[in-house]
Amino acid sequence: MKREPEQLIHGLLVRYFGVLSLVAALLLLDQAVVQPLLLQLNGLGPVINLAGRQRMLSQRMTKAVLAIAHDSDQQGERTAELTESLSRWQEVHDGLQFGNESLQLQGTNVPHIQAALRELDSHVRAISELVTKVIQSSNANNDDVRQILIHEKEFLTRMDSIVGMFEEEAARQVARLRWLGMTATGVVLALMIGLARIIITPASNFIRSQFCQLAASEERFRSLIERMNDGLVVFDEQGCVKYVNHRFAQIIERSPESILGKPLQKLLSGPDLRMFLQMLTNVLPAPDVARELKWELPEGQQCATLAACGRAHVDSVSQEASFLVVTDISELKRAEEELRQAHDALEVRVEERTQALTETNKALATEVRERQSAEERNRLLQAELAHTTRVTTLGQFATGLAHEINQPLGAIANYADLLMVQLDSNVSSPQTLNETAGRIHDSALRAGEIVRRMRSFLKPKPANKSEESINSLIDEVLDLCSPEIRSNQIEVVTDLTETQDFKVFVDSIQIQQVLVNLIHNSIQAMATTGPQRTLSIKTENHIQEVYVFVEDNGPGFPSNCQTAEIVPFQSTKPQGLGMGLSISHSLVTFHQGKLWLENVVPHGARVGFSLKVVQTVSADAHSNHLCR
Amino acid sequence: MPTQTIFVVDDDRDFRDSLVALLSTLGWKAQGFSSAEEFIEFYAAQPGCLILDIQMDGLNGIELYEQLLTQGKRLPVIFVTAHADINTAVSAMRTGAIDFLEKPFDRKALTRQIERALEIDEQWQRSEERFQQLNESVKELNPKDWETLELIIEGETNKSMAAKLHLTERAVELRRQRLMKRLNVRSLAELLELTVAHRVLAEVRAINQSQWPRLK
Repeated sequence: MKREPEQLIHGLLVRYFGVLSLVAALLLLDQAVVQPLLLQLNGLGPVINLAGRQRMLSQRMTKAVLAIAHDSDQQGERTAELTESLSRWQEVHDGLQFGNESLQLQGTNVPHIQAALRELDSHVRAISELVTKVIQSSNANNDDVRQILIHEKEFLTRMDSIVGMFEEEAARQVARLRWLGMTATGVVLALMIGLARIIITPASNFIRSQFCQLAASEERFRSLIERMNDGLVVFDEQGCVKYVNHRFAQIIERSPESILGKPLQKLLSGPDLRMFLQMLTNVLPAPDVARELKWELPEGQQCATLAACGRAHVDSVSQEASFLVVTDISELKRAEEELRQAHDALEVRVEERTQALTETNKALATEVRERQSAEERNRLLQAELAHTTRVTTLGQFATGLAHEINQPLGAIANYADLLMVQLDSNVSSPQTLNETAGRIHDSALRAGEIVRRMRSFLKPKPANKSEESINSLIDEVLDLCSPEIRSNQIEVVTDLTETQDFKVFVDSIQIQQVLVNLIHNSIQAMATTGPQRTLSIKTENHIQEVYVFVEDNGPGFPSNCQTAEIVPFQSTKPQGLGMGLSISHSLVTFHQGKLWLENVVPHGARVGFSLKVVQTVSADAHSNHLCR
Repeated sequence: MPTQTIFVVDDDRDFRDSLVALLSTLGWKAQGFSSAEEFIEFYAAQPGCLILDIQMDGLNGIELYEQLLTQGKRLPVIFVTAHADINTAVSAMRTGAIDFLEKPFDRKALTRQIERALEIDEQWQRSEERFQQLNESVKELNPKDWETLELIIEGETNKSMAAKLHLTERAVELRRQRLMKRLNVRSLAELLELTVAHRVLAEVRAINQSQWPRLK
């Protein structure tokens, strides 16, 4: 069960004041009752004293009576003495019984003393009467004396017992008061013990628990501080270390014991020491802005930290002390240093790269200039090459043409021989001879046709453009190439319908050259393929352009040159000059067209080129063109 | 002997017709074919010779002749071509061709080669007939006869043969007589001639029937 300290303290106060009031009451009782009674008890002193005097007075009176009786010389003197004694004696006797202010007697209220005193009365009166008679007569006879002695004897005996009674009564009262006092003291003592139990025990428990809490709290704080990630050092005005936590010792690489009681200044030097002293003089209650401090490490190195200074009550003496909260930033510093170095290195590299780039740019500019002049040279060279290639191409065709011409020539020779045999034999009719001669004629014409076709291709023509039908151009080229096509057993597929005919404004020789090159390439490419060799030539209409495709089912282009730029002198053929496609490309480009390469599925190559269309050739125009 | 025919295989109609006309006029029996396939289908070991164009659609001339050889059909061939390159000429001659002519050619050169080819064909026909004839006799021989024949060719005497075969000389003599009777020869010389001829002819046939590159 937990109670608030205030409630606990309040309870304690209530109990404390309760007990305090009780004690005060008891003390008041003592003062008001016991002490007065004790003082009253002292009043019995005169009673006992006077009771004892009564005996003395009675004996005096007896003596005086006896003296009167036996010695008449001093009668007067004795009578006076007797009278005085008697009056005093009677006075005391009454005072004892009923009290007498002047004699400080209060009388008695104790019954058996009163009874004893009443019993004494008869004797007192008898003695008084006898003494009075003596006084009056101033002479005492023996009877009187005897009577007095008898009564006195009785009186003295009884008086002794009364005195004893008074003494007993006093002793009894004293004992009673002592008991009362003892009781009161016992009560007070018991109360004191109770007080201890009621107040002191909970109070001490409370204090103990508070102390335990305090100790636990202190331990908690201490362990917190010990485990803190920052170093903490507490020091006095002189800078002497009073406490360090584990982390601080770790940061400065020393044991806590080795720096306790020693001045912190010893761990600092130069600007750091000045900074520390400044912090020490301007110390604030709360930790100040952290400043950078470098601590000297045992091996002579330095450890960079951030330190904030503050002032606080740090121990039980309530002395104010300064403290430093220290954060190790050496790792940060190192990282910062590395970053700086990296940054520097980067800057140097950027500088180098910029330099390199500038040089590269210069080199590039030079290269661009060189390339431009090279391109200029190339253009001139290509113009020459275009002609050379035409002749080269013709050379390649010469083989096919030779074969083609030799066929009719062979036939002519045979017919001529036949004619000679027929003439020699003299048996042949003129009709037979004529027939043979006609065959010679036919074959010769066939040879002539072949030669004519070749010549028309070879004839040097100036590059002049004219309106041409694309279908006618293709037809003528196919005618020209037919020997080679046939000797390579190639099937030609064309799709040159009149509706698909287009009129183009071109140099017919140059475009035919392109077609010859492409067809020639295809034929060569298909030389290695199987018996099914198909050459396909198609045209396609695109907006203001006609696309011409030359397609074969050969192995196709190698994948690397399919999309690449067409480079002169690069050939896929072992003995190729590498000029065919290059020149075709130049020629098509010269006509503002494009030339491109692609492969077809499953295998084969397709070369397409585009030409600008003048207008769709009507059937009429086409026929005109054929007639020309 | 049946009449020899000159087979002309050429896909150029003008040339084929002119040549057939010329050869017919010159007195030979000539027959034209427009493709190799057509000829192969027709030809069944008739005597004569072959004038073969090399460059043709489909099977070309050299391929046609190779096919004939692998079928075991022997026919002397004269290759003709409208355009000759060295590779083609070498390939053609390696098949064992009589000649290789380029169009147009001289009539005399052609007739000379045709005559040679027909002569060779005649020889081939004769040797074939002789081989068939010899083969008929040889077929009669049993393993014992072959054994005896081998030893005779090696030049063994009757005595040594008897020793090798663990026979008596008399038995060997009987074997020898039986062998000579079966082969229808009268003397040792005739026996040896027959045997050698058969072996040579058999070898020639084997060569002709085997792959042509082994001819060199």
